[in-house]
This record gives sequence, C-alpha cells and structure tokens, in this order.
Amino acid sequence: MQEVDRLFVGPRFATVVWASARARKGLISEAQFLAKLEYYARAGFRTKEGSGGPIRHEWGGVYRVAHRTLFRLIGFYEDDTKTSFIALDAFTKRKKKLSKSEKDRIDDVVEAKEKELWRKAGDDNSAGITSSS
Amino acid sequence: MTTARELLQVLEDYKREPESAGLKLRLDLASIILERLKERRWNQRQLANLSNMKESFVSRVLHADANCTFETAGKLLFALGVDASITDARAVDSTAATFEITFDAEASTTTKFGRPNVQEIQDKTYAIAKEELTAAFGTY
Repeated sequence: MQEVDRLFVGPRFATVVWASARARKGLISEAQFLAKLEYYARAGFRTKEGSGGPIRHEWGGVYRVAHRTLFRLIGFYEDDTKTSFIALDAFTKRKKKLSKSEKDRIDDVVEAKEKELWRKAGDDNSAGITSSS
Repeated sequence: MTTARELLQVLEDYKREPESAGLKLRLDLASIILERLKERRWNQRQLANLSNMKESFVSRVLHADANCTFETAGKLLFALGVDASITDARAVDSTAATFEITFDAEASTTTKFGRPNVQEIQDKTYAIAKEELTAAFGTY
C-alpha cells in the first residue's frame, strides 16, 4: 500500500497533485519540472493533454507527465473529473523508447490503480502548497 | 525519504532564480499554442509543416523545453492565426531589476485550408488601434 502526500492543493489549483515517496524521490532533483508541474496543476492537467501536450495517456488509465525528452512522472486521475492526480512514480528513461523495466514500472502503477493499492496521508501530517501560496 | 515539504522548498528556491522567469514565458507560449491546436483540431505535425519547422522542435516548444527566439515564436503563432503582443511589463521588485511580461493573444479565424487570414489580422489590429487612440486622444 503506497501512501501519497499532497503536493499542490487548494482552490487555485484546477488539478490537485498527490505524490508517493517513490514519485517524490524522482522529483527531488527536477526543480524545473516541479515549476512546470505547479503551472500545469494551476491550469488543470486536462488542458495539457492532447496532441503534442506534455500529459498523455499511456495505458490502463495511467498517464505520464513529460519533461525534456526523457523524464516522466507517472500517475492517474482519482476520478473522471480529472481534478485530482495521484503520482506514484517518476523516472528518467534511458532511451526514447520505453525499456521493459520502465514498462514494468508503469504496469505497477496500473495495478496500484486497479486494485486501489494506495491511500492519502492524513491531513494533520501532510505538507503541500495551499491556496494561501 | 524525500518529503513534500522538501520538494516545495526546492521549488521555492528555483523560483528565486532568473531562469524561472524564462520558463514561465515558455509555459505561457506553450499554453497558447496548445489551446489553438485543439481549437483547430490540428496535431503538432501539421503545425510543424505550416511553420516550416521540425516536428521534434515543435514538440519541445509544447513541452516548454525549447528556448525559441521571438522570431520562431512569432512564426508558430502566425501559422495558428494568433495575433500576439507583449502588453504589460511590471517590476517584480523595488529595484526594478526584474520584470514580469504578460502576453496577450487574440486568435483570428483561419481560411479553409488552415492558413492564417492575414487581412483579418491586419483589420483587427487596425480596429483595435483606432479604438484605443480614439479613447485616449479623442481622435486618431
């Protein structure tokens, strides 16, 4: 069971973003991507989908948020409103095409989504940018 | 274990860097282009062909990864029939060493084959200028 902590929350964000420990580990060295992610969250992830957009469906209801050629944040929407995104993994691809191990990581996120192998951290011990930011 | 608080600190530190201002402009440009692509139901390949650019480069612009020149940005917006201009620049701090620039983009219609309607852009630009000059000076 993976626990996700809130990253971007509040009414100024059209899409609230939650991230697991594994996703956060992949994000810590990507300051520029964090700035992009905040921008996308404010605008709403839905507006960044579509041909050429940085957010794209991979398979099994799991999406990737791209940065540069190779970095990927992997997650899924909590429901059809697309107002909450659950990020469970983040990695830099070795090549343009996904390797087997990278596909396996996406499959793991698909499984976590389908079997609900995740939960949100409690309100009293969660960080995150709020509407006052 | 990396906490969300640590990530937010990394983000806040990045926002204090001059580089972050450039990223914001690239993200705004990418947003305008992506929105217009959806309106026209074009894909990035069609835009690349119309702009006479490589599709891989257009992809990087849409991901806010490419540091394109004003000329290049202008070509992409022109192909989409967008009349864009810088409408505001305000000092971010008291030293006036840093400015925030706002883009204002109005989309024009395109012709049947997807080319920008240049005459309409010119007419609209003239009409806006005439209205603003009249409002400011009572004449133009």
